[in-house]
Parts: sequence; C-alpha cells; structure tokens
Amino acid sequence: MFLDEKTVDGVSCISFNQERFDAAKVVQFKQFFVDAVAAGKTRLVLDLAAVKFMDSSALGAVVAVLKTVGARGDLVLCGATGIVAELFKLTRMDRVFVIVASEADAVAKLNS
Amino acid sequence: MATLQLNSRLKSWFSQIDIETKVSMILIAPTLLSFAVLVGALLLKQSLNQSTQWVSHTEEVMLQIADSKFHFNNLSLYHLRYQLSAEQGYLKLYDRAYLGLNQSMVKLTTLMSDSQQQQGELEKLLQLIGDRTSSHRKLISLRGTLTPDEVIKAAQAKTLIFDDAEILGLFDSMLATEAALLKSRRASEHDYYLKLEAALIVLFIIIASSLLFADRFLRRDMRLKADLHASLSESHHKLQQELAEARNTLVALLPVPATLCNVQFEWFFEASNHVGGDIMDYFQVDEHHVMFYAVDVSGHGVTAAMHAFTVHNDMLASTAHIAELLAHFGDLSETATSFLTLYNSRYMRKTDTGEYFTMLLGIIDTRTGELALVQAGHPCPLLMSAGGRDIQCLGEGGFPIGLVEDASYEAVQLTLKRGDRLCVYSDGVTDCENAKHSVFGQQKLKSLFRIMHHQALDQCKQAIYEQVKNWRGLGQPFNDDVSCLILEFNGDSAPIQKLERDDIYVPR
Repeated sequence: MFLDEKTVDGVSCISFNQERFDAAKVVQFKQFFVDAVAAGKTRLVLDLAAVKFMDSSALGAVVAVLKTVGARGDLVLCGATGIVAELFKLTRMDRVFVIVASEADAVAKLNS
Repeated sequence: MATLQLNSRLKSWFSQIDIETKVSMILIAPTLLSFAVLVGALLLKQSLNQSTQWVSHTEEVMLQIADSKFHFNNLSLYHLRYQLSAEQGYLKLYDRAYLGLNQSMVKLTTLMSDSQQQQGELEKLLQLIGDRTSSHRKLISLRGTLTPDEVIKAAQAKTLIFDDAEILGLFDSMLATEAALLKSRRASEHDYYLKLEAALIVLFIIIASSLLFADRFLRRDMRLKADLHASLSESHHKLQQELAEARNTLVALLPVPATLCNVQFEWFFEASNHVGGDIMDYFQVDEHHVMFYAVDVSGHGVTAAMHAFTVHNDMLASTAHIAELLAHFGDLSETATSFLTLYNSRYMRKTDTGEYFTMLLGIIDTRTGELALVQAGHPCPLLMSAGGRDIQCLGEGGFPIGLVEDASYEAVQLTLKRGDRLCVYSDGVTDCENAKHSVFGQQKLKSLFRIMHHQALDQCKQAIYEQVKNWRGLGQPFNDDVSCLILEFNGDSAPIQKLERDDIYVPR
C-alpha cells in the first residue's frame, strides 16, 4: 500500500509514501478515502511530501477525494512541492484546496 | 434439499480456490495416511519386540535350570536345550530321560541280584528312588495348581525335589509355554505383516487415485487456461485492431498543416498507446477570426480518446456560437472566457465519471494580430517574438474543464506581430522521461524553439518532435500523449478570405 495512516490529535493523517502518483494508483487511492469517510473519519490530512511526480489522473483523484470528504468533513493538503505544487497552481487547484506547508500546520488548521 | 444446497455451496467454494491449493488438498490425504501407516507399523513392531523379549526371558530361565542347578543321570540338558527347539527334540528329551531312569533301575536290579553285601548301597538307591517317586507324585499333584513359573521358582528354592521325570515334566510344561509363545509370536508376526500389507495396498490405491485426481484437475485447469488464453489472445487481437482503427479515426480528426488567412499552423502528435486523450484543431470562425485549441484529457486510452472525440465535436459545433459571441461582445477575451465558462458548466453536467481535460483556447483577429488566450489548466504556451529575440511563457494557469463547477476563466490578451510564433504543447512533452527518469522540461523546449526561429515552421516542428523522441529513447513509446501545436503570424499581408459557412472546417 502506498498510503500510510496515523492519527494526530484526533486528525487522520494520510501520507503518500511513493514518488510517483499516477493513473495506476488512482482506484485504490479513491477507495481508501471512501472507506475512511465511511469509517467516520471526517478530519483528514493528505501529505504529498514524498510525491515527485503526479499526473492528471492523480489530480482528478485528489479532487474526487475532496468531493467525497467535502460533504461530511474537512480535507487539508500538505507537503506539496516542486512539480506537484506547480500542477496545483497551473490548474488553480491551490484555490480549491486548503494547502499548508507541513503536517503539523495541517493538524493545527483542522483543530483551530 | 439441504444436501443439494450444501453440495452446490461446496462446489462454488471449491471452484473459487486456486489450482495449487486444490492439488495440495488432494495430496494431503495420502500424505497424512502414509504418516499414519508408518506410525501404526512402528507401534505394531514395538509390541512385537516386547513379546520377543518375553520369549527370550523364558529361554534364559530354562538355561539356568539346565545349567547344573540339578543333577540328571546321564543327560546333558545344556546340549538338549538345542534339541528342544523342535518338537522332535522335545520327544528325544523325553525318551532319553526315561532311558536314564531305566538305567538306574537296571543298575538296581543288577545290584540286587549280584550280592547281598552291597546292602548299604541298595538302601541308598532305594531311598533315592523313593525320594524321586514321592517328588514325582508331589509334582504331579502340584502341576494342576502351579504355573510353570511357580514351579521353576520352587525348583530354584529347592522346596521341591525333582527326579529326572519330574524335571522332564517341568520341561514339558515350559516347552509347551514356549511353544505357545512362539506360536502366538508367529501369529502376531503374521498378523502384523498381513496388516502392513493391507495398509500398503490401501495406501497405494489412495495415492494412485489421488494422483489421478490431481492430474485430472491439473489437466482440466490447463485446458481451461489454454482455452482462456486462446480466447484472450483473440479478443486482444481484435481489441488491438479496434484500437488501431480508433487511432486512425482520431488522427483523421486532426487538421492538416495549413495557413488560415495569415496564420500558419504546424503540429505533431503521438499517443502513449494506441489511442490518446490529446486533440487539437484550428479553424476560421468568421472572415476575420481564426480559433485554435489544444486539449489533454486526463488519463490515457479509450476513455480519454472518447472524451477527446466529444470535445472535438463540441468545439466544431460551437463555431457558430463563438461567431455570435464575437459579434455580441466585440471582444476576443470576453468571447473566449464566456465561452469556456459556459462550456465548463455544460461539461460538468454531462459527465459524472470524474474525467476532465485541460485546454488552451486562442482566438486571433487576423486583421490586427490581436490574440486572446484562455488557459484551462493547460501548460503555459511559449511566445517567441520575430527573430527569436524574446521568448516568454504566457498565462498563470486556470481551472481545467470538468473539475470545478462555476469555474470562471481569465484571458491573456496580446497583439502578435509579423513573424511571432506561438508554441502550445501538452504536458506529455515537458514530462517526457528518458531512461534515467529525468524529464525533458520546459527549458529544453524553450531553447529549441528559439534555436529553430530562423527555420521554416514545419522544420521547427520536426526538430522539436525528433528531440523529444530522442530524449525518450529510440523505439520507446511515450509515457504520456505528446502533442504540440505551433503557429506563426504572417502579418497583415495575407488577403482576407471571404468565407462561406460550409467552408469553415474541412477535415482531412
């Protein structure tokens, strides 16, 4: 599994632990969050610090996850750098998502 | 009914497990059985050993008796011990014992007839015979009540005095015991071998049938797999053909390199697999306006290609609408942004599969060189001024189409001068990876675009394509769809074409 999950101050922090986030991982990625929301986890952090490459399908999946979580909870992204940050900027997704620098910031944001 | 249900449930369960598990399950029974037979054989052997030990113990006691614990006239019991093993020897012992007693009697008779002087010796002999006879009687009376072991103990403790006949009687019973023991040992041995034989036969049958069973399963599985493989390769072949067809259809949708009014267009396109999600087109909207776009649908393959078809059709069908918008607004930027805003919300309503695409849309007023660009998540296009003096990336991004409802768009507006070139590319170009996983990048594209500024537009396009292809590695398919559209504004020298509606778009 390419996602690690831990709980920090009542917030589910999910980090992507591989460099490539592409179409091959999209289905599993979306299902993970569908299950998380179904399990009652409504405050979620997605840490993309490890990701060096992200394709358009992956971006679509993150948006889909936002829609899954959005109705019932909050999703905060963190750790997006380089190509990933550029992709979010290019597609204006930096205006759609709440994006912060680190996981600690994300947890603080969700707990504020 | 319940049995039927159980049966069908078992069958469905069995059909779900894989072939390796099935074979293991089939072979585990004979393996366990072999183990059980081995353990059984060892246990039987153990009990057989115990009875053998017991038999040897009896033999030892007999040897002790024979070993001069008693005196026998002229019999060597130690020697006789070996003759006793057979029934014949046992009879011989009897004969010779009586012979010994008889010899004593003969000696006595001789003495009685020989002389009266030997009265003392006679007395002793008579005493001996008397003792022996009473012992004999005693033994006979005891034989019914004592076991051979007790008799032996009594003999060893010398509480009984035996004469030869009594000893022979003792031997008789002991031999009978030994014979019975031997007999039972042979019987149990026989029994053991019979059981072993039966178990081995059963085991052989079970192993053979299990192997046959496993073989049947494996063969059936192989046959099924072969059938599956055949049908798969057939459908794969068919699918490949259909994909090739789809690719041809998609490529046929792409425009021919052309000059519309005073704007010259060149492009290259290559899909990562048979069909891709990249598409582009350019056409005249009305007498003075030329529109172009490049699209990259998220994902690859058939789904992406079908969306690309849809977008292509939508754009084609929108020509009249855009012409109306142009007439209405009288402004390139407003036309482009309002068109895309509307198109996005329409597309969002139409698709719920999560598919989206990035787009770069441009409208040029061929009279003035005015250009409005709307960037919907597509990479920033490169603008190179005539002569290659200045090169810049345009735009600051924008929402892709189909991702966010109520997205609004912004346009970049500028005026092209004669000889200015614009390069619109999909991220497949800049993200193209070589064998070391390093990407082609925008910087390389920029410098290549600049270097080729003095070359004809088709040569510029060709150079970029070859460089990207080389970067990927010869014979390597691209990891993403790769498309690039290059245009050059040829100033106001070109004659304004009067357009008929039917001539707006002429697909190849």
